[in-house]
Amino acid sequence: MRNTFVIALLAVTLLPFASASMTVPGGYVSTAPLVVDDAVLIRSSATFDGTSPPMLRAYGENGTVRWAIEGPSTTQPDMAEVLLVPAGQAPCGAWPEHLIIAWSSGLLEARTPDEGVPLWQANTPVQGWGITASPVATDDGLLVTTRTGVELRCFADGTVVHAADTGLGWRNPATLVNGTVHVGDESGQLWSWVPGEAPTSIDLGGAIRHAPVLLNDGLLVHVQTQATSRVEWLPLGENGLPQPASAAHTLASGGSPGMPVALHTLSAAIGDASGVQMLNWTAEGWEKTRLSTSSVQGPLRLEQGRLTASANGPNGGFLGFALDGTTAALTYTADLKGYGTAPPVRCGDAWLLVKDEGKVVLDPEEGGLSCPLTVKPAPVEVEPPVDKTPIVWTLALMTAFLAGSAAAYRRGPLHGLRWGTPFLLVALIALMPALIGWWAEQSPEVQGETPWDDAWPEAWRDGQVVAFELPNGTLAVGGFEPRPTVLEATVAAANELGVSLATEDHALGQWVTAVDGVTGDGWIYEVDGTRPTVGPEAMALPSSSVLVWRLA
Amino acid sequence: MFASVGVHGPVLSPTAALLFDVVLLGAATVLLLQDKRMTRHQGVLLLSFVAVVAVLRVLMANLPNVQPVTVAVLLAGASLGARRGMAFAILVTMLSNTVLGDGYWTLFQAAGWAAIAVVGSRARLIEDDRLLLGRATLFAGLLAFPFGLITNLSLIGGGTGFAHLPALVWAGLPFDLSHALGNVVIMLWTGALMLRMLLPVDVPDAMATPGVESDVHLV
Repeated sequence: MRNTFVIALLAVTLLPFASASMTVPGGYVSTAPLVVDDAVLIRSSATFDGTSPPMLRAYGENGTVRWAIEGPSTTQPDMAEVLLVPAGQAPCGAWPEHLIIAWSSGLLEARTPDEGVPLWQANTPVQGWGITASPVATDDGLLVTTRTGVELRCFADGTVVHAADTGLGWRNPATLVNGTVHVGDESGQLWSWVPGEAPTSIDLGGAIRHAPVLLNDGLLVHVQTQATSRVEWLPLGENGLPQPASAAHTLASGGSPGMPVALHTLSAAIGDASGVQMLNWTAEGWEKTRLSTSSVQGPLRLEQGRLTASANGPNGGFLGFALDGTTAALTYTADLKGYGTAPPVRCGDAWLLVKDEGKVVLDPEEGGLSCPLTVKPAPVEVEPPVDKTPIVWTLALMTAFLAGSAAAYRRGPLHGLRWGTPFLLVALIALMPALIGWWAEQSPEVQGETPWDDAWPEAWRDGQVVAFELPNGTLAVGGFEPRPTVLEATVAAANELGVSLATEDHALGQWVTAVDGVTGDGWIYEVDGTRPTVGPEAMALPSSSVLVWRLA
Repeated sequence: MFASVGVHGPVLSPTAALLFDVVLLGAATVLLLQDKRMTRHQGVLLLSFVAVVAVLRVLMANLPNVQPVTVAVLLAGASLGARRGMAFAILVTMLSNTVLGDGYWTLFQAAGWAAIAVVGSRARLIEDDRLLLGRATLFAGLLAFPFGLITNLSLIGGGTGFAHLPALVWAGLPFDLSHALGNVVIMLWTGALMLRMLLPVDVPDAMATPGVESDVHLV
């Protein structure tokens, strides 16, 4: 009895530290959070009244915003999942680990996961809206379903390797199977495309709003029709193209289907307004098991052997099923209910739950202390790469000494200098990169004094402050969510202050040419009192810094 | 006239760039024409040497601040005199910068090298048509630093004031060191050869030879 009391007391004491909740400002959160190292990335759509733009925020410990980026404003929701691409290389180039972010404005961009600094950007076709489908990382490249077709792009720089026009689509990612891309569209066409060739299609009727699911050497497609839906299974022929749908595997289901997921080679889960079902493929047809009657209209997710989903309804919670041969539903302790489509996501040893309205809860199923939202990241010891430069300059110095000494001994000091100095020069050139860095650190004036106006609120000190020194006075703003680059912070500050901004493309990236209509001889910027030597688009801005724009 | 992007001093507008080039070219022409001692042969030789040194500078551009021009200009000043040395400096700078990048800094590089040519003309580096190698090497090494200072002045403007100059000079010292060491190496290995290319040989200038005009009879 006493032990039970102690354990209960401990649990009550620790629970507030283990669980966390916060609200993402702005429009709906329709996509699952992405956990990257020590941050949780959550995207939100623009509000319908246009008061808040579409955003992607990186949250760290205690829900602090590490960085935030703003997408081009559209009235369409941003529903494409953010994709984390590991570092790699291909004939088109090499790339570091990066995020792929697709916007409903048609913008497709790659950014660094740690600071959100842009690596490349590309525009895709827009017809009413742009990209609503999650991009897919494949061995052949980045597979992007645009509004009007499908593209295979290079991860390194975003260039299009191959592209094909299909039908107009909405939230319809593609699937790559043995070199053939399969993608559905809004008119029920299931397109198949070998990159570099013309696409072909099969008409399934209705609308296809998910990635075709590979199941038992065929494609499972959940077709949305007027008030109901239909599950089809199309075997893949030897040419890799889908054959006509199997009549035995055509299944009528509820309305507004979600995004199915393959569970094993012969089984998949589907969701719709009638609930969630597990389908096992048999030669005679589907063997069905109903898992839930809660409406699921978003993605079903398979993670760590668990099938998860968000129930979509005024009192909708979250669903979780263990796939260990049983179908017992998991229970989430968090009392978070409402409309939503984003499935729970594993974050450390907890579950991250998010609903449409931006309410985020960390459900500490087994403690929850290892999710970045609640813990300080442990310092990562990175082994420095082996630098062979010291070997070069050491050898060059030794050779210089030997050659110079020998020549000086034989023919005099000038000859010694003549034979020794070339090797000294080689040593200096080899040493130069390290020397420059070391030298810059020694400079007493490298760091400028951070400008601070005492009239500014103290609350701005811990964040980013942007000031525009205009001819008729200085305008400043702070306390906004930190932006990853100088340009993005400048745009955010200008919007906040209601100041117009004109930019121009230069070889060094975008440059601000006018602020509030003032051009002068150009605009320059300083970060914490120091003038960087890169353009504002490429300059990472610390989350606590003062950025000043002034006339040149 | 200036449009600033705040990276490399003021950026010249096309008109300003043209104006600067015209001024520099005009200065070089005036300096050459003022020198009455120069024969056509020497003029052709000088221009050929301009081309050779400009190509050398372009080829060595990847080595951090290793500048064959400095040694060439120093020797040009020492062997041809201040005026031709300065003209040589301006022409090499302009020609090589057509490949390496022309801009506001061309003016300062040309000024820096022209100053070195003047120093060369007064430093008594040649005795009886022979290069005093030790003295020339010392000058070549030391002159890298004032040259670095002059070129740093090109970064002033476009929002960078004179208050930033100490920081700019400090940041540029490793490059000045590389420049100095490069000068020493180039002078020690090619100084004598360069001087031979620059010193006038005994080829009479036909038009300058007395009596040539009277031998020409137009019928």
